[in-house]
Amino acid sequence: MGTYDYAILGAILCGIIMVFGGIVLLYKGAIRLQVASKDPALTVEMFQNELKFSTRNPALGLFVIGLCFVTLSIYFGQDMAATAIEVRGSAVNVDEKVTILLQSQWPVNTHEGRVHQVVRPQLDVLWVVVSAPGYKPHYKSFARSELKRGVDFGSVTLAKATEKVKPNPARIVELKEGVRVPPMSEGGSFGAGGPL
Amino acid sequence: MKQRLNIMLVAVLMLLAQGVWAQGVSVFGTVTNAYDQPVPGIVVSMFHPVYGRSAPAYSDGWGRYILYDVPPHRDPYYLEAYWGNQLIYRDVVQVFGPLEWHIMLID
Repeated sequence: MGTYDYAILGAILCGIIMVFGGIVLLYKGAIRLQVASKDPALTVEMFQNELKFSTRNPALGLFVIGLCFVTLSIYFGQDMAATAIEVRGSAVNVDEKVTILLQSQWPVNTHEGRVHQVVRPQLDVLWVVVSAPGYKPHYKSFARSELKRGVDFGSVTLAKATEKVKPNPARIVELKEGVRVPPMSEGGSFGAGGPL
Repeated sequence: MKQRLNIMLVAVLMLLAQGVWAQGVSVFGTVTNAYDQPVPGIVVSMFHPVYGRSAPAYSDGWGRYILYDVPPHRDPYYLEAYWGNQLIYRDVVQVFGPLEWHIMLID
């Protein structure tokens, strides 16, 4: 979770505390709904004055402010909520071990060869890369609008590019004494593999 | 008061220094066979006695691979290439800055 997530969570918590605090104060008699002022105690205008909410009961203001906190936080937070995307597909007629990579992309268009921009990464394009040693990789991209209904890249056939490279001990340097080779399953301690 | 300021200054400098040293570099290159043809779909990975194993990179249709965010270190890394699960190449590489390393799978 980043700073933005904590800010959203904090705003939601504030809203909930205000709503429930208002209920508790009403229950204890510290505030009363009957107490009304002549002028509006609270006016909320939203969406360029298309939605206007006004009350003369100050106690109701607590609920309204609290609800505003909650709804606005949820509204602004919805974009970063992780969307589950179902991905289906397979590679056929490939004799080697097939790797299927799912890569995301959020393009930033810049001009004049420089960038100075605040980005909030979100999934704009999903790339599916199917590769196998000695075969030309297969690339397919899916736009954001297509992701909601899931991704099905069908059956992919890869074209052979080179013959199998046979292992040759002359190409494999001996390990220094005491050095342990971490298995591939332990990969990811550092670094990041680049796009194909 | 002055002592506190000094401690804070040292702490800030240590944080900044950590940020500088933690910056990773890229290791990139191509994978070619004995006939100098690009070999796609090869898994390229590095490991280091201190840092462990890197995330894998895969060679593309032109045999190119890239590993981002590799922390420089005075002790060398091992760079490996796999054909599926089979190890076909391993060499020792020294990473002090961005490194171009071509993997030639000659017989």
